[in-house]
Amino acid sequence: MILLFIAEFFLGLAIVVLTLYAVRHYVFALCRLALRRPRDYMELTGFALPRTTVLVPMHNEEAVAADILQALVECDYDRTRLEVLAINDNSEDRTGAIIDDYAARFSIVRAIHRHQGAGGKAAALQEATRQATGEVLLLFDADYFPGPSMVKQLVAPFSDPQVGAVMGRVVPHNTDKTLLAALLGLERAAGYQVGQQARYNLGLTPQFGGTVGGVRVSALNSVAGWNTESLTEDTDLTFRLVLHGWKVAYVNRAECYEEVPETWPARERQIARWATGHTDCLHRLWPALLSSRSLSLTEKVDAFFVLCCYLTAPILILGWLASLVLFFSPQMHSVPILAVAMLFVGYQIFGNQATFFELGIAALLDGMNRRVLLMPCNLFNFFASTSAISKALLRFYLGKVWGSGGPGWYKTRRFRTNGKERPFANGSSTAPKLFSQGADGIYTYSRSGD
Amino acid sequence: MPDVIPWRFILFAILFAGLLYLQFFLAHRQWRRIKGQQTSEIDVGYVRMEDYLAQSFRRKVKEWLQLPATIRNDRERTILKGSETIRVITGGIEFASGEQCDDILVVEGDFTCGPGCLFGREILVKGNARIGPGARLQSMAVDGDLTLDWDVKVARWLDCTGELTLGVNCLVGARVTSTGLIRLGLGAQAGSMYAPRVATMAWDGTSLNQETPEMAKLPGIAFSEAAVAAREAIENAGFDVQKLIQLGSDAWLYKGDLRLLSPLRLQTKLVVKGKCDLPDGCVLEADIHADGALNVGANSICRGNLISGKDIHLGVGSKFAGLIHADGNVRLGQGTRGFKDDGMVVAYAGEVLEVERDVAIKGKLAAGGRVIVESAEAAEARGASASGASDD
Repeated sequence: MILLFIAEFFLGLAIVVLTLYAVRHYVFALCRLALRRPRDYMELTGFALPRTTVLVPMHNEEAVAADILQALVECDYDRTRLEVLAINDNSEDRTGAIIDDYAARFSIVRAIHRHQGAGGKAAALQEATRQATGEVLLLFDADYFPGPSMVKQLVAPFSDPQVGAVMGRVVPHNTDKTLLAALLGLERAAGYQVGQQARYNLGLTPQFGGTVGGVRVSALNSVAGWNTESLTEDTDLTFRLVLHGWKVAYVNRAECYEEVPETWPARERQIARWATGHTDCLHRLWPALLSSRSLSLTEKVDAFFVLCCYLTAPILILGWLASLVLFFSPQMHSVPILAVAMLFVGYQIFGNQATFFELGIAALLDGMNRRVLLMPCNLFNFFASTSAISKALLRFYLGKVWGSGGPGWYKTRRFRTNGKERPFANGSSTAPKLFSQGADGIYTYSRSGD
Repeated sequence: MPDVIPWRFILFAILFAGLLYLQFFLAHRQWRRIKGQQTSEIDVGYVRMEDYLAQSFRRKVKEWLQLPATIRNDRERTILKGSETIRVITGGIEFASGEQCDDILVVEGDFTCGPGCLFGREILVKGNARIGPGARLQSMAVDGDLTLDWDVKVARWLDCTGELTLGVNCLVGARVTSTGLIRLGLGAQAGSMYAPRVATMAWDGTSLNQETPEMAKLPGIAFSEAAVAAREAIENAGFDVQKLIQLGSDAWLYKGDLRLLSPLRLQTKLVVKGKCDLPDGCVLEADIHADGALNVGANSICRGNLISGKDIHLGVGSKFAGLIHADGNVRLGQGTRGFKDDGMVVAYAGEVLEVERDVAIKGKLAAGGRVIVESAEAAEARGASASGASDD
């Protein structure tokens, strides 16, 4: 009887939780279609030029280091108000030499070499932040391709004194390499084009993703800087900022290429880190979120949806197991099995449709209608992710019980090398020069044949 | 009968399996199509430019002019590009009143048209241009000065390299850009206006951003833990210290509406979680954000940015040197100046940006809805003075 009661409880929990998330998918997708953007920061691009420091943490990034530094030195931001801090974080390859080369050639680039101290991105950022001279910090991972106007686009929202952090949009450039990369391209599109933008439209908190984004130095200092203990220092910072009263802005048009994992093992390690980091944030921040006076009830509900999102994977697995137990049980139960089973099957249709609906809307908004044909294959990604997240969270909770740590910080594997497979149409290792700046800051095109 | 049921089941199973297979078949076919081809192309070279449409048109014309042409007469040749006809006119041209043209025009001299003309396609003029009253245009790029008489309607954009004059009640659907000066007549409307100088007709050329002697004596308000704890100076300025919360080292948050009665010099960034009314003659050295309406009194100086979740009203004779951004409407009072020594300013309204008389800025006026220069009737209704009448 106890086993049946437990099974009924978990099945009910799975149905309730997953249905709530399904409703959320629908709400976001419909709001993304229906609601106007609250503030068009694109109209401010180029008019707000605070002193800005771009941080690029690099750990064994010789494959991609030159590309990101080249892209940054070619950006159209006022050189007198820009510095690039390239952080060589305990690299064992040629990353340090590449950084030194750029620092020697470009006065806006400064090299920071870390050979001791705590490892991990947050620790590297913490050290670089102490040396930064900008009032705004922008962050790019080493495998990103910021366009020439990216810095201007990302700093524009900081003209609003209540904005503590800004997030741009990442778009995978290697979606043609493997089916997994293509599916992750769909997932990213839904996450940014629909999820982040809808959240911003609704006055909720878009998530600062730790790359293709920025943070105001005074805001960062007000929440005691980066959390070097967190595996997802970006999520951690997002919620500490909003708890303190700051807002996070999202700029959908600030698009930047990134590289998504092309292999399942790389994807598994990436999502395991995210799941652990998110859930760890939930455990640390939930009391503050509940008692916060700076967040509205809807913001609090959304914050819990965000921080609990990875818990849905083990809850779903428990729901599956519970339904098996109930199905094969010869006894009668307090809850009619048929009704529960119908509800669960209903969720499978409803829930998946909600996710697919969000993916479809994102593809539609991006003008990539035919990409929706790939969606059936997303089932593979769904099962692989569910398994990887559940394993990671099991390790995380066992670690909590036995006093050991969960998975450590893992740097996502890079699949390209400097100047190779770049998305620039001219095939060169540098971004095409499209403009020249004249008197009074007016830009004119210099690209021919366009 | 019993043997019918298995057949039905088998048919159903086949149909189900077929549909299941079909979705994966289509997915696999799509994957084979996109494999090896970047599907999520973004413009990595994207640079936001206010005069993008005009520059793009000029580039296209440059390419078209390389194509073979048919000589019509000693002053005109025609180029056919697909379904487009491009008429290239050597020297100037003058269209009589009411004339109509549906070809793309490239005029290598001055361009003039009389009242009520209709031009259905883009025009590039390599001299000066003057458009007669009531004319209708698609778009126009001018390598010189461009003057629109009253009631001209432009469906898309205007661009010139010299002085651009929008006459009374002119309407431009999208952008108006110039690398020189844009002059705005009463009742003129556009999506945005961008130039090193954008001014209403009566602008005397002054930027007037210096402080008055009275402003030099204003009490400076810089929030800090010590200043808030001391209370006196902050409370004397009109703030309720109980509502002040420190956001960061350079920014404070005020919970509730803020209504100050005496002018001050604000030196710390302030976020007001309500509406914010500031009296005449303030000096705002730092950014202000208000969730509600933000009203800045007359003759104030705003060196920081002004942001509002609703409307912003900048009082008569105010000066700003940063960004003005409202989700709702923005109204720039008579005599407003927006100038900055080391860059450009911008005033943007999510809905309507209304400009009163004698306003001048260096930069951009833009709106999600429309930028509207106050009409003569509205000015009169506001009790416009006789000197205002000469603004037109």
